[in-house]
Amino acid sequence: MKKKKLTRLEASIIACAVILSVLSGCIGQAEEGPEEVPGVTDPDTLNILAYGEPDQLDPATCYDARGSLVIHNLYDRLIGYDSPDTKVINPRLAERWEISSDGMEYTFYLREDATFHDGSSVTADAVKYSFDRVLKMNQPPSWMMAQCMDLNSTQVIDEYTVKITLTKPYAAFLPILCYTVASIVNPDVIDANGGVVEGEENEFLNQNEGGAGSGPYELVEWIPNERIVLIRYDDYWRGLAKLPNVKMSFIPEVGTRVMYLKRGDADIATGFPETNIPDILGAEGVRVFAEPSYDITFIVLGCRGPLADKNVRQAVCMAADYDTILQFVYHGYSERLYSVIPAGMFGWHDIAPFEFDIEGANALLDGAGYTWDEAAGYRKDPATGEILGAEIAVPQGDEVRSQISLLWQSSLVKIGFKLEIREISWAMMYQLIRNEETDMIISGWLPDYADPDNYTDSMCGSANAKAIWGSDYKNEDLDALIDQAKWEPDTDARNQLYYQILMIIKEDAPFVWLAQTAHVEAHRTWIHGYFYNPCQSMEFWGIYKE
Amino acid sequence: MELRDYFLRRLFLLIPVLLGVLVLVFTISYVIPTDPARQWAGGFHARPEQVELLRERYHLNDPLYMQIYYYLDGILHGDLGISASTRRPVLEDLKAFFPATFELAIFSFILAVITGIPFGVISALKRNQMVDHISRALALTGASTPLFWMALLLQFIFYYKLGWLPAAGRVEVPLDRITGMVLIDSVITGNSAAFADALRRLAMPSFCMAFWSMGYLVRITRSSMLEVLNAEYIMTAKAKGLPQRIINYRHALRNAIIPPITILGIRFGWLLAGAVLLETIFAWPGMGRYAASSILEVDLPAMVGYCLVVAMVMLLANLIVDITYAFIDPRVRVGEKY
Repeated sequence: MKKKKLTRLEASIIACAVILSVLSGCIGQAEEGPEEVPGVTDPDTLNILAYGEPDQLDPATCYDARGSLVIHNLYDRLIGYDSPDTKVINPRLAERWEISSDGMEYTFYLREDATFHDGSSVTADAVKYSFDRVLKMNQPPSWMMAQCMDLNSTQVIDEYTVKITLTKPYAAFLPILCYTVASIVNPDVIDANGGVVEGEENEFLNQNEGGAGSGPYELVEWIPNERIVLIRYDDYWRGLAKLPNVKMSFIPEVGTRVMYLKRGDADIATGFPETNIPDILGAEGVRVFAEPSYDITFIVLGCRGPLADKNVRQAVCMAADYDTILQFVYHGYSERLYSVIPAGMFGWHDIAPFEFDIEGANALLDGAGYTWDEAAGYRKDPATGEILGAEIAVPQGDEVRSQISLLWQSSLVKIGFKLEIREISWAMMYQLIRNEETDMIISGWLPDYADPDNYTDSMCGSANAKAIWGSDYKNEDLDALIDQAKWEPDTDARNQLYYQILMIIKEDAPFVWLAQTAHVEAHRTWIHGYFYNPCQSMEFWGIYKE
Repeated sequence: MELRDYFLRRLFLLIPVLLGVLVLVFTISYVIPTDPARQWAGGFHARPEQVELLRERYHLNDPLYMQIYYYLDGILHGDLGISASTRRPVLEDLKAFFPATFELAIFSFILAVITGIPFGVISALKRNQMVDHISRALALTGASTPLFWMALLLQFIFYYKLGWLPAAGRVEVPLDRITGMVLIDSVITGNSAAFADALRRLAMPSFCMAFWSMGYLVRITRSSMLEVLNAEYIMTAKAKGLPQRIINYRHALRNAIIPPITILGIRFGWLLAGAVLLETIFAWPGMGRYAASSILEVDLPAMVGYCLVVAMVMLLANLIVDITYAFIDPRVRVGEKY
């Protein structure tokens, strides 16, 4: 039998396939992991793979988690959290504090052994300087303090005592002081580097620290897009940090970060996506660190068109298969979100949220006069005669939100509601709903500080519902209650007000509350001494490797 | 026309082209429905008054032509604006990130040239022999393998599995930055540890880029060489009894090199524009990564600055190619009308 000779093209294709197969085969074999699993590597340095690079490092300007992570460890605040519990606030630069019975005056007694990185003492003058600086500079995070403070609020009583008189009795004042915007800065360093200019950023402090902080670490270098290196401050009042150095590398690719962790070249990877958890499960020396956070994910209902009807909003809430979403999309690392206030926070109540109930949703729509169009397979909107449905905008490339919308779409069909999914970039998604060019979006909210007001007003207050979420939701009774709860000094009365608020929100159903997501990180198992608090950045001070 | 005049005229032409790029980028950023000021003020946490302040500061409330006017005015004063995402002057950012990309591009370029052209020539000379088949397979693999896949594969083998090379970054050893190109800086400062570290970190990304370009270069060089080898003047040279070596390298290669040089010019522009995916995977702090994060953060000043630099680089790369023709091929006289 005559053998058929290969053509050159065929030979080339086969050669290419062989080369690629051999290379791919290496991956298959390498799945077992590196040849040697190392012991504790780089024992004096905490190697962190940060999920993003800070925009700037000035506490008065920074308004993102990436910058807060660094600022939190360079600067100290009057108070902070020493545990995962946000209801327990602990002393920091302030040894103790007193609150007047009307909730208007806060007197802080500073410890006398705290020093800035240039060796000068942290005094009441520095506290006044820092808080007034935030208000004068008027940068993005300043609104938190400006809600209840003005330039007359902070008063120096003596060298180590400072009194703050609020403009209104805001119960969330202490949680605000835990945010990095309330960091105490060294006036001498600021004055020598541009001072405080009203309405302007400080370029020096945006990029440097220069002895302005009093935290457990000092900034050694920041090479943009490469790394930030910190060295511990030897005279830190709480004692030496356990690890002498911290190196934060900015490695955006998750696959690369996974390899770094598995080889032991990194100790902690922050902002680890749930979808990549299977990549590290079972890897020797690596563990998944997942803790309940106050981060919430929800669907914004535009409350216009067919969604102007409360019955339709309640029905679409009942058509979300919450358990399946939590199990298969979040891999069991998130909890059901009951309403706008996350579990664990003051003001949370079990308000018996909507459950996945297709029959109930159908009954609700039947009762409201939405009849089926048998030919189309959907219900009809009696007001317009058109098919009942809406469009949802989903951020492109966001696997979690894409999967949620697809699951929801398949359930909504069963209640005769046609959901159209539109994938669009993050930045455009919000503009789209604000321009009323789409009906719904899937979004999320992270806390600025641990208080329900940071959620209720920001999300359900009618002004913010329109300005931030592009929703037409408006309930004047709710607005009044939100405002009342914001300024209520009595804790029990405030708690009751939040119960009423949550019940109104449940009835009105302006959002589909999906998940209280977990804070996920990947750690080497040799990392110890770390706790996660939902309203505080990672504290490097107590972390050690063993 | 003198070469110098031609060069100056081409340089002068950069101005209208860059102006066109500027108008285009501004127009695109103006019509896409985003709200950059809100993004910069903290996304959906932003307060309306902060958003308004930023709109004023960045002239976002002004009509398009006024925004372009303010930008041009800034350029004339050596100011490309302040990046909204890094809070640094865009010019400073570009100065910081361009050397990283340039270093990677030049290293990859050299690797591609010293492997691609010889492979192409050998393939043509040993046509349909084993070496030609091997070279063809390698070239096709290089040209058809997705860059990100190759990058991940190399990382997996040489970093994760074997532990021979670092997976990412530019240089970990402390080094005084002078030019911004770490290899040069380590030589200038006599820092041999930094030089070795930088070289090891450069190996994988530059190989990826070079392998990708090399594939095209081999194919173009081979076909161009084959075409020339069949030309009549080569026959004449053979008939004259010239040694094969002289024929191949002095007569054939010199003529066959023009198409590869054209490809090289375009490729170098591409390399310099920054391979976004490659820089992301290898955490290479270059312009590609800067551009990607600027786009995600709707950082208009950074986006415009990046586009201007890329346009300039592409134009300069093509200009250099045109001028190179004149040196390589005596038939080509720059600027002459035939």
